[in-house]
Amino acid sequence: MAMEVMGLGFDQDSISREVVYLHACLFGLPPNERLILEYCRAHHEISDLRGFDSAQVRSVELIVEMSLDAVGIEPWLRRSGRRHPLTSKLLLLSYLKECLGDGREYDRNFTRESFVYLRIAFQLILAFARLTRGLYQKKRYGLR
Amino acid sequence: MDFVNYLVVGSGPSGVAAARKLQGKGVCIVDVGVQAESDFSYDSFRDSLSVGDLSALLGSRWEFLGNLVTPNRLHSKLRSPGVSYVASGNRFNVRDSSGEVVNQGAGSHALGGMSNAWGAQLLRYTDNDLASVGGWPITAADLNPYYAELEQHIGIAGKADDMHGFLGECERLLPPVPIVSAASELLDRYNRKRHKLGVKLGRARLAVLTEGYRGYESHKFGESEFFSTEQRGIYTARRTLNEMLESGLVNYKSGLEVVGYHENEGFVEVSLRDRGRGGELRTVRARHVLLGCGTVQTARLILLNNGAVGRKLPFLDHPPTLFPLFIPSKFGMPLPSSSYPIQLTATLDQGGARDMISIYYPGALLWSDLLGDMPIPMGSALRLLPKLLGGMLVGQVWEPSKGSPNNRIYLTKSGSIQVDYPDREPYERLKSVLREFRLLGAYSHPRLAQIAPPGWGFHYAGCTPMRVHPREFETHTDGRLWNSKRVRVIDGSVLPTLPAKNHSLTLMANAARIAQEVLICGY
Repeated sequence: MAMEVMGLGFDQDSISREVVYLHACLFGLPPNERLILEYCRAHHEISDLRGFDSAQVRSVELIVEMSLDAVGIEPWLRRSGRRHPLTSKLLLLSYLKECLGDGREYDRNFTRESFVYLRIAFQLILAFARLTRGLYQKKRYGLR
Repeated sequence: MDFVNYLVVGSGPSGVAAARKLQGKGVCIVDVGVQAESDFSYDSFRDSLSVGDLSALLGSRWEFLGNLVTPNRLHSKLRSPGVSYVASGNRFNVRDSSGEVVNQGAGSHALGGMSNAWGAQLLRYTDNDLASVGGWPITAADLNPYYAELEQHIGIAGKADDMHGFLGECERLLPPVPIVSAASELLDRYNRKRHKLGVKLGRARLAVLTEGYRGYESHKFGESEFFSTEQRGIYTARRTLNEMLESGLVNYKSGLEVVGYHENEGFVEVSLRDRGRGGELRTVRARHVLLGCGTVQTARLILLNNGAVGRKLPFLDHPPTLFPLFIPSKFGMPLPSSSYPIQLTATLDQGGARDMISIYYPGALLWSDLLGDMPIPMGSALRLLPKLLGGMLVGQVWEPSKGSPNNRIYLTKSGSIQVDYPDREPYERLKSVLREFRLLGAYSHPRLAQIAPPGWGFHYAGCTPMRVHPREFETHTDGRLWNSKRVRVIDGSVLPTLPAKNHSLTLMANAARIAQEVLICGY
């Protein structure tokens, strides 16, 4: 599929809306100002984030516009070789959150949990449910 | 510096090992000598995370995110600004059987070479190792005295356990590096069941100081190896170079890149590009020249010097196969606050196979590094990782590499290096390995395994192999190029085949052996 290079500039508002939405999908709450700024800065400064296929970029825009489950859809858009923009953007978000020391999801100083196998099973069931919903939405909206 | 007795090109492991043999006898080491521009200023990886130092972790120019869109474009160990300078040398592409570029590598122009970023597994080759791959014109006995001397110089941590025979003799071992709970559990189970298993397992053999040694302090195990090469207690070639400079027994000139050489009757005239003077060309004469630029860069220099554009030389690598191991009894365990990446080593003890399996603890990586490989939504992966990591290890299998007539390195018309590596077979003993680990309560699946692309492993070798009767672009057993009396190759380029084990200590020992040959050559 032909690759179309996006313009060098990004629409700041759309990037900000994107990061607010993707952050909510991934972490269940809005991002702080610092993270929004760094996400936008990364999009201006990392040239790799400017060369995605236009159909894939449109899929990301649709996910944000229609409030679809970005995190559930993303595994179905993964591919070998060059990553889908949704995968890259979610990974970027995760790297920023982790390296800013911002999220309890990345806390390494936890104590031993009880019923860990049950907790793992529960998370796997949730993962399966999210994957199912993600697949449905991918097909329903023709995401690529 | 108009004339030197011995000119050693490169300050990496082979260069310093050779120079050490020649110290006090008019030896000069030259290199480009790139050093880190920034350094990771934290004692531990966790300190940087708790402070939220984005720049220290991801780089002020997002260097660490080089794989964000194209996975594996950068080796995971060479992304951080404090480490990426190590791969500052000549770049090259590696193409697979379809002609697609699957890896982009680089030689090293760093002071200390690739040893700045190695995992520090320094292992001897045994006669069994050499027999498993064939093609060696020297024996392990030829290398043993040099191994012993280097081990004493460096300080090696490990244990005389079931892996001792496979890893090679080492006369004195420092206490082994501490291991995480999951690795400890694996080892305990192995010790209870070992006589029924088809695998051998033991502590890793590492050039890491677990106690003070020769005036050097022990390693802190701050889990920052992926962010900084300034690791107290981990041996690199820089330590040896600094010792020699302090003793005043070697000369060292940095900022110089060798671009050619011409051999005359009594000396070699070497052309160097002086990077400190805008690339001005300089000339030095040496009685003997020892090329230790690193396999790829040495091959490039030799091809350039012989005007051999398009000439194809052999190329060996150890592209590993990686697989996760899950130990359910350790799920939910708190993570250690300090660790070293390499935990254990193993080998399959079946059918004469001499693969080496290094077992790593992945918990000290950024967790974001792992999300893209987990086949579940990232949100779920983030919630699962803390529960799994206490019981998770990663196995990395190295197989013997005998070379293939189709895997070749050559010079393009533009002077750049190209590696064609069409022959890369999947690891055929993976199921056997996973079955053995299953018996130890460590679970995985072949579908979770990843085959690293050629060029990823950094164990490059074989471009100018040692032979008893060398042909064009090969070397004598004393390191001399086929057509030379005074120019020798001392790095991995001369190793004719690669047993499964890391070749780092062997290329050092062989460099020292070749330097000894220079000393007694009589001219």
